[in-house]
Amino acid sequence: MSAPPTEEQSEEIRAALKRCSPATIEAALKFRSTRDPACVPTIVYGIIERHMPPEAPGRLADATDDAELIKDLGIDSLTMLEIVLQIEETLGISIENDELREIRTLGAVKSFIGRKLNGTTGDAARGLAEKGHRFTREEIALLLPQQPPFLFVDAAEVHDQVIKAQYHIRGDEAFLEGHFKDQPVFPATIVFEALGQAACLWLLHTQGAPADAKNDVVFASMEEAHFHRRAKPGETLEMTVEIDRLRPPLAIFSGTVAVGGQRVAEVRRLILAFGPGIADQAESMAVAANVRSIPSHPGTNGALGMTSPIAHHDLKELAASARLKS
Amino acid sequence: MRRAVVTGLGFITSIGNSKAEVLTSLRETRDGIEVFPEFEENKEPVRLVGTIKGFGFPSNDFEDWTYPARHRIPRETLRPMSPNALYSYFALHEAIADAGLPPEMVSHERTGLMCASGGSFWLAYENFRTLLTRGVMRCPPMGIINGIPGSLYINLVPAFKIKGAALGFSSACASSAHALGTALDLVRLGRQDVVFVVGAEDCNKFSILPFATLRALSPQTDPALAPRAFDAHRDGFVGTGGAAVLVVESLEHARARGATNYYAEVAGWGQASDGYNVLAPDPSGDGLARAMRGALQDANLQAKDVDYLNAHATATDFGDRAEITAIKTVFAPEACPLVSSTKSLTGHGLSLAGAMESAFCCLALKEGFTPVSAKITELDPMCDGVPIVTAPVDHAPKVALNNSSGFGGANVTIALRALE
Repeated sequence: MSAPPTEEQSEEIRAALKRCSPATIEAALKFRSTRDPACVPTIVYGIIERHMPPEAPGRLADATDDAELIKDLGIDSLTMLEIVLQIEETLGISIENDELREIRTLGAVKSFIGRKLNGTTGDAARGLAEKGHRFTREEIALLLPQQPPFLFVDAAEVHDQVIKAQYHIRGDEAFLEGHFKDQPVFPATIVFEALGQAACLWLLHTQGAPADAKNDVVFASMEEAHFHRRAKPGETLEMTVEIDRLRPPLAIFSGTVAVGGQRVAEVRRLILAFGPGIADQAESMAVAANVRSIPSHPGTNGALGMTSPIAHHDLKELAASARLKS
Repeated sequence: MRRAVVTGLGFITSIGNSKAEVLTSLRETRDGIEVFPEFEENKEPVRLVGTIKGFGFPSNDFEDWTYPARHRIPRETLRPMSPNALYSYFALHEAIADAGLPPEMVSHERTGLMCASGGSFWLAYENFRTLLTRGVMRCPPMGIINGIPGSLYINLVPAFKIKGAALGFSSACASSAHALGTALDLVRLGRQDVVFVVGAEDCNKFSILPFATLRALSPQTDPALAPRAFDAHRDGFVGTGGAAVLVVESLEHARARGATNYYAEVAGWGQASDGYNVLAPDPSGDGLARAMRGALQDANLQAKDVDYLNAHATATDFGDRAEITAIKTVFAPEACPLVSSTKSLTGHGLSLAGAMESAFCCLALKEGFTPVSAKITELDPMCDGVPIVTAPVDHAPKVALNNSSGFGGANVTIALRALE
């Protein structure tokens, strides 16, 4: 689809990236002729690295995906503009102001560029789709602690920062008999549960070996949850969950559920806690602090079938103690 | 009325990148004019420039720029700069150190900054070229503020954490003289205690070569022959850039903080316009004469009190002629001060000229010497009756005037007086 760059274009790329590592330039030239998305991380890292101030608090090589560009890498907003300009030029994409505001972490930069290429070039889109890890219902059942009849993910595709999952409403789910009488509607709580299970799948796939049963996941909280449309038997829930922040033992997600492209539900801030023994730790802390669990509101709170919810501030303590340990 | 004194100086000029180097060059009549390699290569109609030594600007990428190793500048400070802002950054550092001002007095609501530069035509050109050839979204984010004339104060205010009055002046070659005069007013009125006056220009083909089309630049290729103000065979000016900084301070503030360098009192200033032509000076020198008289009156001085005049004298035929006429109008033949053009050593610094030459006057008053008007082999006969300093003289001036004239007929005279 894309022709190899002319000698003049190659020179422009070399000139634009002259202060980047040879590997970055190599990757940029390769990307220009092959559109191979595998080149993108090298290019993006190379460009960010070249703009990091010598007195930066952290080094890029040590940075994780949740490293914040400004706080952890010492990149200011003007440097961010320089980086964006160079990325745009090298990859042949353009980044809007609104989009720029959303990019705060290294991981966000990578996933954003991935999505961008996804949307702009067919070759790249195919490449990225192949890169995402696809799961069947059987594989999901092996990985998730949730099991039938309480498993609400049939298929999933896990990417670096995003998970796309589906659940087909069969109509024979036992609870539909009572929800509601003679009028089966898939419960809103279960819609959010399905979204949470997708997030859980992302965590277990990316943060621990599938066989590692020690890695528990517990539901912590959910904010700005909205329900827009009923879902009924025969329809397929399409879930998209994005990881917004990962700071063990907490993971913060946002997600949407749609049916046939129509919005069913969305949640801005879904927090899961994870790690070996996290459920016991959280509960014993809650008992010690004599704090009761978050009151359960229909539609905004659903257990993931593992443990009862834990108070939010306990998780903060938990996060603090986890940091101390590490 | 409060009195204002100059307590610090800083320079990046063709005749030296520090106060000490500039002083030596002025005392020893050493010029900073060279054949400019870029003009030579491109066979331009002019070849000479008052070059700034030790700096390199090989591309518009600021990370390619080089500067003397003793200087340091953080990347984020350099990023939005033009060459003239970079020169100023170093010169202002020197001036602040020279004045012995502590950081809390530099960054203080009663410390201001008066700036004058023509901006950077070079970086403006590079930015617009990118805009036209590759689209606006490929332009560097700093592409506005590194090019516009306001570039200088825009860069220096955050770099030095200036809290007081800050503005830029745009009156062509009179710009930094206007900046100095305004600084004096601010101190006299008690609006500021300290004001940094900064004049600066790029030094490249974009800042200098366009004057060739006006036939204002000397076509000489031998630095010994140009520019030669007041010479009968003068043939135009030689361009330069760089930066000069004066720390103007109220006398009481300087004494209260125990300042140690007192170069001169900024005794007064005058400004007047020709109302004549966009480029050419009024041949009668009327506007410049009124500026000089205004400065004398403002400083409460008589014409006979003046013993040195640093003339605008760029070495163009019309300009020097108008200025000599103006000098003859103001000063009686028996009471005419010594006159020289230091532009014959430095080249013409455009917006930078007024600040640079007033700073030279400060050095002359403090160190007790009179700068020579270099390169004169045959004095223009019209200078008869005006004592042009063609060779070193043993004369320590007490009162000096500095003239600046710009396009559009803007004239400014600064009056400086040695401190007893």
